[in-house]
Amino acid sequence: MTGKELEQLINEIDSGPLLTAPIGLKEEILARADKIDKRKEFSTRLKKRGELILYSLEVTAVTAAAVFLIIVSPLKNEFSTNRAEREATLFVKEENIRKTFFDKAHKIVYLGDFMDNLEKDDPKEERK
Amino acid sequence: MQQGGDKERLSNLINEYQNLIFTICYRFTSDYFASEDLTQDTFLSAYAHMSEIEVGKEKYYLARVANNKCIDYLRKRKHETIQSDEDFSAIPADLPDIHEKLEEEDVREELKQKCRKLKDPYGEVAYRYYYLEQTPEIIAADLKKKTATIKTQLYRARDMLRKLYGKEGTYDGQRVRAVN
Repeated sequence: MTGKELEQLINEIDSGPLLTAPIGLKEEILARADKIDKRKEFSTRLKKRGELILYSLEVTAVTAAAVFLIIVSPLKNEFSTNRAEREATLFVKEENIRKTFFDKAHKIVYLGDFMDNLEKDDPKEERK
Repeated sequence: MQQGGDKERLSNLINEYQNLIFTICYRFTSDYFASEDLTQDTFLSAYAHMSEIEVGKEKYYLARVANNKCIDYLRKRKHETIQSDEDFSAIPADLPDIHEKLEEEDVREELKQKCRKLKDPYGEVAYRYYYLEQTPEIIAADLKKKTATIKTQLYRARDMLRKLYGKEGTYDGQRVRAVN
């Protein structure tokens, strides 16, 4: 039906007596419109929840990968097939051990000197 | 909120145009309950596209949607006298006897006859609801039954009436004849 024909139909029907729509029609239409709105709302909520879950999974995966890399990297160097990396790691370890040893050794020497000095300064010894 | 505004606009459209759209649908289908369904579908379709309907052009939009839905409905029914779209376009504007047929009294009388054809309790309930336009609560009070029972019976009666309209049609010969 063309636009003009449709307009003609509308005018013809409108100009004459109209039938009365069935009782309760308006309420039924509004009730169905409500259902449509609720369905739309539900599917939007479901979609957003899905997006949130996906995002959470991504963040978890990235965090796990980062932690894994942090743990694996030093081990990787020590057991690396690259000789230079391996020797560098071992060198650092040895230096740390040496440093710790000398620190402790100096403390022992210092303590010994301190004790010696205490004996020299002892008043009982001097009176003799 | 957008939804609230649309709902209000829908309500106003129904108030203003429900009789017109129902009349258009009945003109195409001559089936009281099919016309009711098609009228509902028309308004719901408008609700889904509310933002697209220009202010002042609602009547035209609704009539267009109703026209399309009626054509789809008639295609589905597969009546033997209807062969193509051209049949539909010619009918509404040109045939004066169709216009006469659409007197409210005739439609209501036919509805009454069909309600009476149903066996009890459905016939009585349908007659009271559709012809006398009593609410389910009033019918329940008169017949001394529960409202829920009346509503169930109405639901079934409606289904039976739908089938009755579909089987018998409303007028024979020229345009619509049921296929048995």
